[in-house]
Amino acid sequence: MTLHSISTDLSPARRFLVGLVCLGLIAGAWLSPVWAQSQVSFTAQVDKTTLSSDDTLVLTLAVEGELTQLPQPQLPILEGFAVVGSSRSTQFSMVNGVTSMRGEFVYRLQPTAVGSHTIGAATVQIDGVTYQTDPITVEVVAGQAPAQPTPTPPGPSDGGPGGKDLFVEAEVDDPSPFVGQQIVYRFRFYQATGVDLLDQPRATWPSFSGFWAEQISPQDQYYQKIGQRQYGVIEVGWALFATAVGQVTIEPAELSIPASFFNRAQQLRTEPVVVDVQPLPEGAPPDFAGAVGQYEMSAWLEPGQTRVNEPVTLFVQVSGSGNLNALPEPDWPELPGWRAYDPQVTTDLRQMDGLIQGERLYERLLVPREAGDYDLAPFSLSYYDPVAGAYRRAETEPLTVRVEPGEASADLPPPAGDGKEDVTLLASDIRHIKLAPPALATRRRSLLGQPLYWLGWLAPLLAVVGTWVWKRRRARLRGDVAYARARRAHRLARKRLTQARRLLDRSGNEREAVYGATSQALIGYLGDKFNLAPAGLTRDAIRQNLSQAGVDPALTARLFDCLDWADSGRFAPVAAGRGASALVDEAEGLVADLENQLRNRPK
Amino acid sequence: MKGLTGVSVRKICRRGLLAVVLGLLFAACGAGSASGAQMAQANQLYEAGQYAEAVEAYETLLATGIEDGRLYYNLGNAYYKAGDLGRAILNYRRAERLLPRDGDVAANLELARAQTRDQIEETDEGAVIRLVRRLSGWLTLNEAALLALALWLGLCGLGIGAILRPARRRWIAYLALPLALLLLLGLLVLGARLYEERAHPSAVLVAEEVDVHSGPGTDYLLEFSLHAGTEVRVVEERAGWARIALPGGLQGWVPQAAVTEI
Repeated sequence: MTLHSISTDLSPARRFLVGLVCLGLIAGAWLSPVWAQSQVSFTAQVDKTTLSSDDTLVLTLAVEGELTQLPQPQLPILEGFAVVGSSRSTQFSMVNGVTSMRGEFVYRLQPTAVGSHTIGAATVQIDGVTYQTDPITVEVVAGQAPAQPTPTPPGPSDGGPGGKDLFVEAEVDDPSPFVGQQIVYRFRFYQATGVDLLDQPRATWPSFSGFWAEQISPQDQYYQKIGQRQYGVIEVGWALFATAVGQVTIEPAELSIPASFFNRAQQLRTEPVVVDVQPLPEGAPPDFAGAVGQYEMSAWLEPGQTRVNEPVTLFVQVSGSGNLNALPEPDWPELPGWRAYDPQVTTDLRQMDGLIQGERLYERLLVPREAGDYDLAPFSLSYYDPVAGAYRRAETEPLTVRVEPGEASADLPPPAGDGKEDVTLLASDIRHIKLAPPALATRRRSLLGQPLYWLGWLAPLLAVVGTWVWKRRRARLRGDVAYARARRAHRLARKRLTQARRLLDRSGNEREAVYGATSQALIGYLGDKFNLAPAGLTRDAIRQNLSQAGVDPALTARLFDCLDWADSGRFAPVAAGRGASALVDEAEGLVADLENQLRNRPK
Repeated sequence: MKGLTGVSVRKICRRGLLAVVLGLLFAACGAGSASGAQMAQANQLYEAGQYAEAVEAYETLLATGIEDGRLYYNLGNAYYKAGDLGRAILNYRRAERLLPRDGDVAANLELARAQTRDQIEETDEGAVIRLVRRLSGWLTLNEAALLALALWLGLCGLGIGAILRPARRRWIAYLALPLALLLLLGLLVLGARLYEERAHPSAVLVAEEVDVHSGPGTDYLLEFSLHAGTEVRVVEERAGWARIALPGGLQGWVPQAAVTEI
């Protein structure tokens, strides 16, 4: 790998050289066994050359070389030592393509006698060749006092040399306590010196049902000699307060030891511990509520005097040893005219000589509503003292507090939460029924079903359209005289003819005026239609305009006939013959027909 | 001269339309007779805790052709107290249609709905549909119709103004644009309401528990069950069976007696 990465940086020629060297190395490794055989080393080593008689010695035999399998070395006869443990390990390494093996055999030796001992040469046979180590001299001096026989844990009954490396035990300091009295449960983990654990063991604690349990920290660590062996001990304590009378069994505690270099994984467990809980003796005072231990009690107010609506804090403290967490709450005095808040409780525990001790402090906020002097009855606590074997009572001094009349405390903030309460919804119900009105509405048709409503939509639309048409027409009328005359022509002609017809009722000359009026009506109509002055309307002009307008020539002939008739009547009334009335009829018919044809003419 | 003619025409138009609108309003506000006293009696029954009797009294009053939101509300309360959640919700919905902005109706409807057993998923709708729905829930049908008409009158009035006063057309356009948008929204609301009420009328399950079948008959596969108070739409009705649709897309047939249209 390394070679390869280097070779990429080299020129081809050099790469070839490097390749050759590599080949050579590989060949060398291939041919090396004979050469390597002579390279086997076999050594012995101790961790110390002077030790006390209660200590152990670690002897390590190491064999190293180009080996295919680990040989088993032969220990010499050991005088003054006993082998209490052994282990082995193997390690491979590759140097310059040569694989070498290193085997280590570790023996734990316990001195059996004081004095100077020589560990003789150990031997090992590899491929028929015997290797041996150099002898080692070790001085064993007298150690500390021999291990005390008590307490003799159940585990290492086969203690002494060859005793267990690891074991656990559990016990209680008092197997028959009173109910509520504190006992101490101790769990101990023994670990022989020199036995190393790679990993932290894991403990499974009993559930301590039937007890109020409080772990005592920190853990205790010390050394202890049992038989001939030195152990490191870890002790974990629990303060237990029995909650009920009778026999209670604390199930075994378990410790899982993970597998390590020297040990297999193992599961250690203690024996179950039986506790016989005794009832408290007779003669309990009436206010006794189960407190066991030794207690003192004190109470005070801060500040000692106050004003109306200014809060004071009432402190009640119980201190001593016992199950402080399970103490009954003090008997709070009735304070009429005061607002009292729920007390805040803090408990401070510590452990002294295996006893749980501490303080329990109650803080209660009180707000006076009225001025005056108030006496607070003393607080008391009855308890059973297991040391004295008698019931006792702790009592506080009586308290007095003076409440001054409050000044208008506008600038003082009211105590938290005072005066107002959250609205608590207890239940939700429907809202109540409505009152009956004088008259109820009857069923009514939807507006959408009523024609009048839709007329409401149509009417403004018509109004818009109507306005638009009217405005347009008016603009045209104003701007176009010819158009205006042409539009008015028919109306004017009929008006004139009506006037002419009225002349018929007259007599004499006036009656003859009918012919002139009729003639004027016809000429006037044509003048309006063609936007010409009546004077300019010669017969030729009339004929030309009418033919341009596309009027039927027969109608034109009829027109001229009628004009002739009117002229002859005007100048020779008698000769006219056919009568004035018929002329007006004919003229009205003519105008209607002309209007018809002229209106429909193509523009 | 020309100006005078324009103003007078506009005035006449305006007065005519005003008369039409006022007429419609008065027609809509027809009042009942001595029904108030009957309702007060029914209220007394309710307050005495005789809910079943109160229900009967309110229903009798309704049968005479009365249609009043307050009456429906009280009837809904009576049904609620009598333990008939389905009919309580039905009558609250009817009251809501007549009194869309009444807080009591909305509160009781919400409370009753919270007690229905069926959990119906709400479908997620677009913003426009939600706006239209909210607006349409805020107005009665007649109010929406009148509002749309009023907007239309305003728009037409502006149109006439634009014809008669060409010089002011710009200002009129500024006014007309929002009016036209509002009118469009009003028509949408109106259309949505009409579609809902005519094409797929809302209904409430009044039976305690209803089996929903895949077809109009008990022989068809029983698909799921619904409980009183669940609000559905009636899609189709056929020979004593109603085809109902739920908001989540579920459909099925139930006996017609199990649902009541609002």
